[in-house]
Amino acid sequence: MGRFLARRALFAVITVFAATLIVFTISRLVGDPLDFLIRPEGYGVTPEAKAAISKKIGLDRPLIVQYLIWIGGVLRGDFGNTLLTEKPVIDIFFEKAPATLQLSAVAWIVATAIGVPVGVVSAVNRGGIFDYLGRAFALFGQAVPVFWLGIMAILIFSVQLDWLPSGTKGPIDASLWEQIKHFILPSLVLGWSGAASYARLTRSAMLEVMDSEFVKMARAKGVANEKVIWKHAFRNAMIPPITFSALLMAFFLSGQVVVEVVFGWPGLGRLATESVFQNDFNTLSTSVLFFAAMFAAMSFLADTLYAAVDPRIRYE
Amino acid sequence: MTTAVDNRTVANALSGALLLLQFPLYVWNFMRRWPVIPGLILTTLVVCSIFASQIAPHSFRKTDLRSRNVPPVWMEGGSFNRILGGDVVGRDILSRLIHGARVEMMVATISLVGGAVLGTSLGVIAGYYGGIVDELLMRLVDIWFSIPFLLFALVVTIAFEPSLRVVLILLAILAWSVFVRNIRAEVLLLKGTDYVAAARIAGASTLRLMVRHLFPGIINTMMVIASLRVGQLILAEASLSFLGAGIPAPTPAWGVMVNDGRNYLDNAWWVSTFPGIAILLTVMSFNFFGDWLRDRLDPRLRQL
Repeated sequence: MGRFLARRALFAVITVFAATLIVFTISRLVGDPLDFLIRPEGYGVTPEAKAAISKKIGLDRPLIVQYLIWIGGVLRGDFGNTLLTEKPVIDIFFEKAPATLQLSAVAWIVATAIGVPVGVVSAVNRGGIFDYLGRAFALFGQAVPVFWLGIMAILIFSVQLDWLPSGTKGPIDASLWEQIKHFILPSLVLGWSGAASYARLTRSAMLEVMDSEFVKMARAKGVANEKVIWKHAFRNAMIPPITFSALLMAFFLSGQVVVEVVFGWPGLGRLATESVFQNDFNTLSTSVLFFAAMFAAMSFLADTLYAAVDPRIRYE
Repeated sequence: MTTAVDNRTVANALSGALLLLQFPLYVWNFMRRWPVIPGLILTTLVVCSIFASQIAPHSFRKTDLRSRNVPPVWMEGGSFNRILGGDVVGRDILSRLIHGARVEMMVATISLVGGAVLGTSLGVIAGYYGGIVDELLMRLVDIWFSIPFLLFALVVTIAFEPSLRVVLILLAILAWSVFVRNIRAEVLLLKGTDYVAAARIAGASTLRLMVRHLFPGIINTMMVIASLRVGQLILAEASLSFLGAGIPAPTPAWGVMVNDGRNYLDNAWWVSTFPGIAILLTVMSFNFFGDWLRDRLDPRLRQL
């Protein structure tokens, strides 16, 4: 078990750096990052000046050397400067990270709090009206385009009803209620598809367990229905949703780009998107490093949880 | 005599009424067994995508300044000229939706086939050879999973200029990874069966083993994964188009159309709403159909 996890962790680290290497390389095919700094036909741009800047940010070296320099910096805690403003990337990163982390966390809670109960109710009432409603919810949630859901939410709750703000995180000094209001729409929109996946997963896991011998046994010896559902079935059906919850968190962190764009949310997703358009390779690589590391950490957590929750599972 | 006839008439009438009452039940049971509504939606889509130019009432790119943000026909100020309203530059939304169906179908089909072929072959290779080949391929899949797709797609489209070809390639490599994992697991199971061993003893070559003996065993899995993947591909394409890294204008991709109406929510909600509904219905139908196919072909894949 320990050996398996150690091996798994090692591969996770390699995976993360491979991911950054791939994105770093492709982002360089975009064209010369210098073109964003100095316009080729700009006034007073001499080849010498261009070469000097190129040397300053290390563009004159081969790609692989540039990557190694970047990695070397990262290992020493230096993530480089942004291309245009020449501020340390790490400062901007820490400025944007809280918004993304908060939104992910809230959306994760929303998804779990809605999805799991819906799945359980759906499985318990198999074939009944609540099952149909639950399945319709899951079908809708997994099919709706997130950006469209966001736009519709703005259309209904901000434009028509004027109940909630249409975007941004709101001013920092706003009252607590004001801040919560800014969170409602983005977190619901982001969490919706996750809730649908939870509902689906929980339903099928519950159905499987409810069909097993020990549940039939419990029923046969006369255990009350509620107790069968929550104590016998639910606890055993929780294994797939628990592992899924870790992966969902990773998905929320890296997958909220669209939500951030729709709601003007000042987070890492928009930072990364903007860095793509500005060819800001240091910022882009750092974002990718963060997203990939989060993904690796969360899938590692999922594997560990899997073994921790279910004593029958042992990695050799 | 007369009473007998009366009885018969009454009996006939009663059984007729009973049949009539049973009819909705019969329809309901039929709809539970067969994916009727998704089938109808998908048929409409296929017909629209084949005969787009014949069905669509207007051109999908012709602008008309007098039809700017014209509301749909049932609203005040709407007309049959723009049944679902006009968009920001007066193009007919309905016509663009119909032409968009063609784009979506083409993108989904090509990228899915590409992803399925690539993923299945790699999955068979990984499962069949095992060892270092398997290890390398699976680690590659792990790496691919840890890259946030939208960001990767953005970088690629900016690097190579947004075009239909780039989107197709991107979606194909989005699709392949799931195939690899599941097909590999399936091949690992099949490899140990007696009939494969028998074929090997009989002198079948590796290629023959893969194509004639392993492939038929995994074709169900492949179909199920494919049908469950289509929806996700369409959603991914829509998100890319929405972010401006998808199919470039004037091609009427539904994601682009949603984005077009974003800034006119307060006075022209229909511009964003209808394309989104089209995406929703399409993806829902594909997912429903995929579930149905899975239950029929291979219920073991329920976790997918």
